[in-house]
Amino acid sequence: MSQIAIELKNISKTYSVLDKDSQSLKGKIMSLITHTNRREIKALTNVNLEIKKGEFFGIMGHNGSGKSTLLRIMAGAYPPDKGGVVKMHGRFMLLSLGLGFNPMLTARENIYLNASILGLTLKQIGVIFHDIVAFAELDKFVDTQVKYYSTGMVARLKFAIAVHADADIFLMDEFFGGVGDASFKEKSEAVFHKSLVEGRTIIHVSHSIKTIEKHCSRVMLLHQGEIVGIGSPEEIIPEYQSLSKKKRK
Amino acid sequence: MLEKIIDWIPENNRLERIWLMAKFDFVTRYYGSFLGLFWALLKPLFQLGVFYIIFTMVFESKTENFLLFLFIGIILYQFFAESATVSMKIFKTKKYLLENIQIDKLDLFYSAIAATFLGFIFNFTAFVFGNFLLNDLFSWSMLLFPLVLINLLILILATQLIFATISIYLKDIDNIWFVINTLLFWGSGIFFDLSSLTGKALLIKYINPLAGILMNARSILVYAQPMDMKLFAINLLTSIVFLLIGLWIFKKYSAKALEKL
Repeated sequence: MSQIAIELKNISKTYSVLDKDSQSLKGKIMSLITHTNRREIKALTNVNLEIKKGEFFGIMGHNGSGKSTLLRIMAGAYPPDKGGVVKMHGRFMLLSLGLGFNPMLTARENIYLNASILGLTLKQIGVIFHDIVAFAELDKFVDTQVKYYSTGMVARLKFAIAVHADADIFLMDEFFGGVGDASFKEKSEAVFHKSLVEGRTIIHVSHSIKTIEKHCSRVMLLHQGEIVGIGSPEEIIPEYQSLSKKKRK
Repeated sequence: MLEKIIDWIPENNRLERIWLMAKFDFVTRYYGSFLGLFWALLKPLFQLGVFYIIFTMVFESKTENFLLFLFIGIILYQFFAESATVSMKIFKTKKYLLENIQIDKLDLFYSAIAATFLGFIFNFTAFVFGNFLLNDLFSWSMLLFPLVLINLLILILATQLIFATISIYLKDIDNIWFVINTLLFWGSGIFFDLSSLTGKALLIKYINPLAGILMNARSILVYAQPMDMKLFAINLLTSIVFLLIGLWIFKKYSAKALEKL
């Protein structure tokens, strides 16, 4: 039996949305008395999922289907509702196109920080440092503050760290595709294949049918916070497309 | 030299991580500003100058060695207040880490304290120089200062945890902090000697651990007196109780820190 990388049990997520002024002390007291300005939004309903080590797992769904919320719950950034259990077996890194670095720090400093948090000692980071920089093609900008980087450069740096600092699980939010130029895309694709062999687990959240089709071994379709289906790309992509058609009508 | 010392320390990933975060925090705080690192020293010196002039010329303070009395009070209080201020924005400033990578939230607090502590070391070195030049008193009890410092560190961690957690739910924490800061600033005896108070007012040194910490620090550093061990014990106990409350509140209520940002 292959090992489990990610276990999700009974994951539901309700956001409790407050009207703006109730986040002050006065607002808090008023809302205790009036009970009016709290609204609840259900983002996920009873998601159960097991992802095996080494799987390339895709998550599809339209905007607002709960994909990113699910990814953030996996990353431990958001807690699930009561009763939900998240178990991550391995060190993970979330890869999204937003800035995941401190913009005031240089690439060098961000590399050390991220790799250290992933569990590497300073000595180990010293050894892989040049591989990271070379892979990200940022040799000339190592000591430049990341705030001057383009989105593509940031994405490359993030990916290079995740790969070389040996994160076990990649949580990718619309990350792959559209990042970097052709030569970098080629490189990252090559790594994806190699990494599958090495037993890394990749969660790939995307709208892009192409990348899902090409890389994923299993796909989950989410709609309005519920699982519509889990299966091979061949099974799930048509379902996704028919949902899109319904939406357009 | 530094490299050699670092080589000698056994590798510990967690300590390294906390150190890295602290170092970068410290660097970014003064990055690119005109006077850079000097701000760390300049701020308390400026305060010292203003208070010294006001309290010697206007109020004619009778406190012995008033300059050093004031200096150690200001830098210890500034260490406390800065740490508290940092903690109220800690989830916002560290969002980029919390969202993307698995990290023990408590490490953020340890590193935040370490970063502020680096600034404190600058100021404290200046104080030690001043003490050496202007003060001819010496006593071995000065070596007990680390005990006082440990008490302060416990109190700071407790305060940070409580403020950080409250800041998740109350966006007007800044204003609440302003009130508390003002009360503490005046109630900790930074520019007057609390031991001159009599009767029930003297109890403040037991109720407000900061006041007791400042008194003990001055006794041993400026006046070469023995430490008031009863006061120290009570302050330490109060700080530990605060810390336990802080840890409990933090564990129970900080899970939604990011989604409420």
